[in-house]
Amino acid sequence: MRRWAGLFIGIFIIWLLMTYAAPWGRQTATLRPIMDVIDERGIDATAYYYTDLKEFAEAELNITHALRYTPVGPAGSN
Amino acid sequence: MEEKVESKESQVVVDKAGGQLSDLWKKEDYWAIWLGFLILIVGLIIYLPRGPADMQEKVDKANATLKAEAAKAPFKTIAWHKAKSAKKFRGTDTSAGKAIKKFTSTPQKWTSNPIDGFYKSKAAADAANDKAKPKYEEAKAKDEAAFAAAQAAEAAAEAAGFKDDAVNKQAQDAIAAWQAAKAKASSAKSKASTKPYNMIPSLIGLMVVLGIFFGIGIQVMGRSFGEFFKGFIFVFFIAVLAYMGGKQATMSYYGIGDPAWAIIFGMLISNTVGTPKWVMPAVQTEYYIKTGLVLLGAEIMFGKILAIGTPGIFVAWVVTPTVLICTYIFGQKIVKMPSKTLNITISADMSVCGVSAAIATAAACRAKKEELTLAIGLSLVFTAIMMVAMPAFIKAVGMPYILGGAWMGGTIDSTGAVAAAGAFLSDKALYVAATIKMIQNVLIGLTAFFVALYWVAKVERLPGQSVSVMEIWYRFPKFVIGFIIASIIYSLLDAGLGKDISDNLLNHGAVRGFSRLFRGWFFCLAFTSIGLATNFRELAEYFKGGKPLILYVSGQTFNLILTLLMAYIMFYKVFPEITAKI
Repeated sequence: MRRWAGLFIGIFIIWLLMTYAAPWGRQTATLRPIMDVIDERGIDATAYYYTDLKEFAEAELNITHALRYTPVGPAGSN
Repeated sequence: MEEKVESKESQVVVDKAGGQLSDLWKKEDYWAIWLGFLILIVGLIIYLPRGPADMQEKVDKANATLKAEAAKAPFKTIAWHKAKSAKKFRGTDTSAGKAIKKFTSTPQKWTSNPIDGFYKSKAAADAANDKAKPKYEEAKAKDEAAFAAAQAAEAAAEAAGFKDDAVNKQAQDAIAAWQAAKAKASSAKSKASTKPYNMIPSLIGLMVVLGIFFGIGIQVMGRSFGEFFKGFIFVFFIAVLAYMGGKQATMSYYGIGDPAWAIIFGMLISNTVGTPKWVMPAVQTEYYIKTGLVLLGAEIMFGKILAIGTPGIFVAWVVTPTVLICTYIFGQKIVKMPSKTLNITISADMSVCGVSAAIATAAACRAKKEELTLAIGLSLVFTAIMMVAMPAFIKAVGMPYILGGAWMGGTIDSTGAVAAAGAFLSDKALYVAATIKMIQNVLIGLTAFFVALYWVAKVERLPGQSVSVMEIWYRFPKFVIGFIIASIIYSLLDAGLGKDISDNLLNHGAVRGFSRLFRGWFFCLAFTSIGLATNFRELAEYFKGGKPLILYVSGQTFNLILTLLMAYIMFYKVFPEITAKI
């Protein structure tokens, strides 16, 4: 009985975290700005390898093209 | 004849030297290689022949445009950006790619109703789209306005022959603003394009396929397929719940993903009602992790270390091993960590790239599952802190964003958090941060190899004992060989296909559209197994005295200082011309 109570208490704590603690933190002045960026850009902040994120593919594409095809312009321009 | 001594508490298997031909089908390490290679080969067969017939022509035409535009103007013109995008014919966008993604899909993002993770009716999808539509229309209008402004600014610069610095700068800024607006519109469009889904059939199908996939190896290794499969249903179910936890919208902002939830849910079960005995045959942490690591090998393409040139190599490949080795020595000599495997796992996850580095290193040195859990837990906590604190600090002190991006990319552990922190500053910061982190990700291959080598050659030998080359071979974790071979093959393919074709068919095909999808599931199954077999009290033992925390904080402090110093020297003193091009 105690074991099952322990399981349900654990589930309840997780539910409290997801339903109240995390949303409260999301709205604080410290966390809100970066979480708004995550939301707006659709970034998966939980990803743990570069192939899990489309942003990394775009970053690599942009950097490698910037270095390979660096705009230099016509002679006399900067 | 091989002997195995299995420690009940730790589930670390210590092999004594010796090998036979039958190891090839009796040992888990080899099964990880065969199963991993099977997936890799199937992925290559599906995607490599799938490029459009005119792909080389498209690439050549776009590259010619890029070259011409680069010579025409001293900034990236609209046509330059469009030519860059015109080379996208990704394997993942084909019908086969979409079908594979659907079959292997994890639960979807949800906010307050967990059912949304599995099922969304057409009515609900339409309602979500209607809700998101106004924001999409607004973003689309801004994109169109920004494009018009960019066209006008570029025309003005062209009228001045691209020789007026002030007009050129205006055009450059307008085009950058258009690119930012385009990215936001694209993100808003995705939110307004929700399709109905029902994931239950595909999840059941995937469970059966993976159960058979792993079960065959189990059977040949001498254990019961039936018992494994029965337990696998439960392990898979908990893994699905772990993905559900990671996809809860608000929790995901904190970077708490499926690995953490898999451990939490698994431990909740094992430390309360207890993991049922009939599940235990499927609690196969090492089997899942090793197979996942062979697949991860394919994502380690060595050509990527050149992505941002020499500065990137110095920041990611000189600083990182320096911090790793110094932190390990510090941990042994000063902090006096009681466990070498815990020391190196924490050192790797802090200095290299978080969870993925911890997994590879822990497996290479045969760390205990509690040590891997602790290393990941520390990494996730500090990642969340650094994701918020670092961009705020960079803004507050007025640090250049390219420097800030390189600093964050080289120090924030988690890849997702690096993207978030980079995006918070600017697109350039994001590009630099992401590229540095990607180069660090590639370092995992060598880290795992050298840690495994060091461990079998030095750490595991008895004092005074000399270890022969054959002994090293026998003791060497064989799945690391598979991991390295996968990396070498994919690196050669990446180089051989050429950057543009490789990006579309290998990176956005065989890797992102196939092996990566299975790799994610295998690691989640592994973490679920860790949770289901971990005791709270045993885990707490490893944290005694706070030494892991002291080690992490000390190492990360050193990492922050050295990375910033190296990034500044490389990007602003030695190679400022590369920085100017970004």
